[in-house]
Amino acid sequence: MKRIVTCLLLLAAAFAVIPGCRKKDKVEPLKVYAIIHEEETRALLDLFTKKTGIPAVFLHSTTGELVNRVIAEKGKPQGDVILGGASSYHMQLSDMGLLEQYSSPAASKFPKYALSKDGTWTGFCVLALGIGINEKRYREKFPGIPEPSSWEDLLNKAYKGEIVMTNPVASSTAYLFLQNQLQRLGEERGWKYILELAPLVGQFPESGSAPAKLIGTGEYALGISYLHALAKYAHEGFGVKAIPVARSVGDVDCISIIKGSGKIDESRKFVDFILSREAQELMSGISFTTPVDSNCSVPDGCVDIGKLDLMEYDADKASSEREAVLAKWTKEAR
Amino acid sequence: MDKRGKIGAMADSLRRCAASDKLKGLVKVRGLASVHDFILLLLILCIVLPLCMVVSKPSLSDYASAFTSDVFRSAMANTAVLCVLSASLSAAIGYFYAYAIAYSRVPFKRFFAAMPLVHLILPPSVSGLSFILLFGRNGFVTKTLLHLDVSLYGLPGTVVAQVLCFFPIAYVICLQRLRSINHSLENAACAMSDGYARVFLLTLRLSHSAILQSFLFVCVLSASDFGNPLILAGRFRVAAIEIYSALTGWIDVGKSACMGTVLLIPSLLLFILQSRLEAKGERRTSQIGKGSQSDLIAAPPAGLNHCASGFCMFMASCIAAQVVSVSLGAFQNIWGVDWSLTLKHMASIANAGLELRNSIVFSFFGAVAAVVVASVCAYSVFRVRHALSKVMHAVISLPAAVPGTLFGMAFLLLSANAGIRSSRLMISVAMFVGFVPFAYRIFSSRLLQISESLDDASSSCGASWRRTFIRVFIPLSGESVFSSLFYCFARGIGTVSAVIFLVSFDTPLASVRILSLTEQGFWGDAAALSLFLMVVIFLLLLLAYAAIRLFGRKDAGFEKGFIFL
Repeated sequence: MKRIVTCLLLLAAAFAVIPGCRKKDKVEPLKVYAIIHEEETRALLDLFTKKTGIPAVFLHSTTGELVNRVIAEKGKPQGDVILGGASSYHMQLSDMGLLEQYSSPAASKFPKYALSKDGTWTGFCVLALGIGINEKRYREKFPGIPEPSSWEDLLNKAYKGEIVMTNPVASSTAYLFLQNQLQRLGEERGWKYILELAPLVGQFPESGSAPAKLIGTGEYALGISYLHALAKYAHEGFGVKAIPVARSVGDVDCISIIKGSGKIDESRKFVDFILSREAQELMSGISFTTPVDSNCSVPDGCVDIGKLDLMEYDADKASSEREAVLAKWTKEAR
Repeated sequence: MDKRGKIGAMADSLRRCAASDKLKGLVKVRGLASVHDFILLLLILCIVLPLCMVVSKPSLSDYASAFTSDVFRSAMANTAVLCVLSASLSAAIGYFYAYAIAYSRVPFKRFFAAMPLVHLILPPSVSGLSFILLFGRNGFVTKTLLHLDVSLYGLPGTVVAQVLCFFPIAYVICLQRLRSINHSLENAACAMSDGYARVFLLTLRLSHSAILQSFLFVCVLSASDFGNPLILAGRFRVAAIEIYSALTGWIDVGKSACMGTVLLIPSLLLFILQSRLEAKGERRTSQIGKGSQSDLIAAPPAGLNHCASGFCMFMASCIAAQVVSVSLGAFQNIWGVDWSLTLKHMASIANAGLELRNSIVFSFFGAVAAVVVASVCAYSVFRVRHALSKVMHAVISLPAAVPGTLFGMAFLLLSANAGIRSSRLMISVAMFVGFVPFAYRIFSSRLLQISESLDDASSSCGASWRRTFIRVFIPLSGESVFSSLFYCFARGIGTVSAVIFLVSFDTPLASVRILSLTEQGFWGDAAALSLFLMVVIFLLLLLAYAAIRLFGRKDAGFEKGFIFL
């Protein structure tokens, strides 16, 4: 009796498991490599399918991993669209001839910084750098020091070991920060600033989301991060405060179609959809990013692009001297 | 043991009858050679080929620039320091834990014997996170309980986390050795009324090679470990991290591949040394089928028992704290920050149904393949001594010395170059390759404990190698089948680095999702998914155990295997 029961149980377990790997959709869905967070990707794809009837699936990972994947799959891509990722990565892919050209009509009125020169990628939301602090830890550690409000304030020697910023080699956020300083202060003073700040930094984690996380749990008092990531953490209930800084730079999250995609028409429709006002407002409501399209309304807690003191950012310069800057940084700052 | 003893004695006399030594082993070889060749081919396809692709990827100038760069040299030096520290600590702790379990009177022994193995089913990215929440700068233990303002980031934190991760493996190796010691020498020492200290020294002498062996084994694991340094190393840069950042940051496969290849060399040397030692140590301890084993008479003094109990309790509570922290995290609003209770994270598991099913199915296939291949391989290497046996031994042991990220890259290149589009197949193969060396290790050490006279007896009676393998070897190593299957399965579900490049749109995996959830800051969801995964693994384990109790032979040692791994 016992044997029969166990047999049945094992069989049931096997059957519960096997159908999972034999499921096949009839219509081949649009495949999206998602660098923006999973939550908003899911919401955007659902809305897209609802509006156009085109089924879509996504694979979420970090920028570095997905860019490598696209390079490795050259000629026979598995995905159709790359959703998200800083412009420098899209430029790199475009230089390697891995992106399809498409200028969406939805982007006709977009500012210049959100459009690529060769018509491959399009920026859809602005990411601005800023300083994040954990208010509780900050008050405990530095009772007499006012909260930092400019990049220069970060050079206070008292902060030694309490700042966290990502490794520019591994993360586009921190590389943007380096370029921010180099373009703000000029080559020479920029490097002086960077080399003065480096010894104060407690650690340089690899992942772009790490500073917000480490400040959120109160592991560190201060961090350099994207403002929207900090705003998102604050909204989730972590004790984080996002401080916009004067003369900071912004980058754009971009979307592009992978060359060799078998679903060009669907991909174009998807790009149009992502650049549309409806999609941007939906995304902004979840991720606290600022849409490139200034007609969009944004939720409370989200940084208003008009109020930011953003400086002109030369993305081509940043992209072309990346290797040299990172090599110098690796040699001298770390 | 009696029955086996008799068979052994019979076999010994049979062997004496067969005067010529050459006769031995001839009968059973027939037919095995072709299986041997087939498996060797399979292993070369799955292991050597992808690695060759990685090694040949960088150009000579890549190698030259790597060797001359400061980053590379300091990363290598740091890796060496980290390896030595965490391996020696893990080996010491593992040995004493195993000693406490095998020799002293510890209350709830079964519980403490199983506790270190619980760490194996914790997904690595979550165990790192729980480590920060417990022992970080703002951690529950360090800050809330002890009011310390310390920063463990860097070398100390990484060492502690690695020791927690790897001492269970040292423990398994040492326990295996301690349990296979023939106690007659120790009993003789005791009978000569030596003090317990001398008996202990004798035990240490009989088992010291296990310490060295686990030291080398953990060295290799620590050098290729990626998860712990990623979260905890801070400004202390190690090679495994540099490989990752070369790949994802510089988008430079050549540079990354070349660092990986260079890291491979010391790993391989350590590994060769380790397996030499293992073979030497275990050949002496073969005991099954060689008469009966005597029990140890010497009883440890009360003081030692107390120490051992305290020690076991401390280590077990470190592990338990991580498990408890994950379980609490699944029900807290924000793990470690906002303690109010919620069920929303548990509800989010519903989104991950496909991930869970994929993880279980792929790692099950991977584990079954690993067990079948490892057992046949071990048998053919240690019993046939074919000309290619050494090659086979080296090839199947190789993946243990390769950093997971490098293997991930290797499989990515293989699937791109060979045009293999099935990510189901590639993921299962990656899980099989990643853990087959461990299954092989378990089987080969078991095989060395089984006296060869049993095989001789079987083949003298006219049995083919297949019959001997199925009717003699497998029944005698039920414990190994069970423990290696479970080990490969549990580790396969948890693995990230080897499969992260292989997941595709229709084949997402739970472990990769957990990592990506922690990356995005959804810690509660990550903890809930981990907890669910742990419960699933545990239930499957219980189910397997129940099935084995009902169908298995009572004397096959399966119950022991349950505690064992």
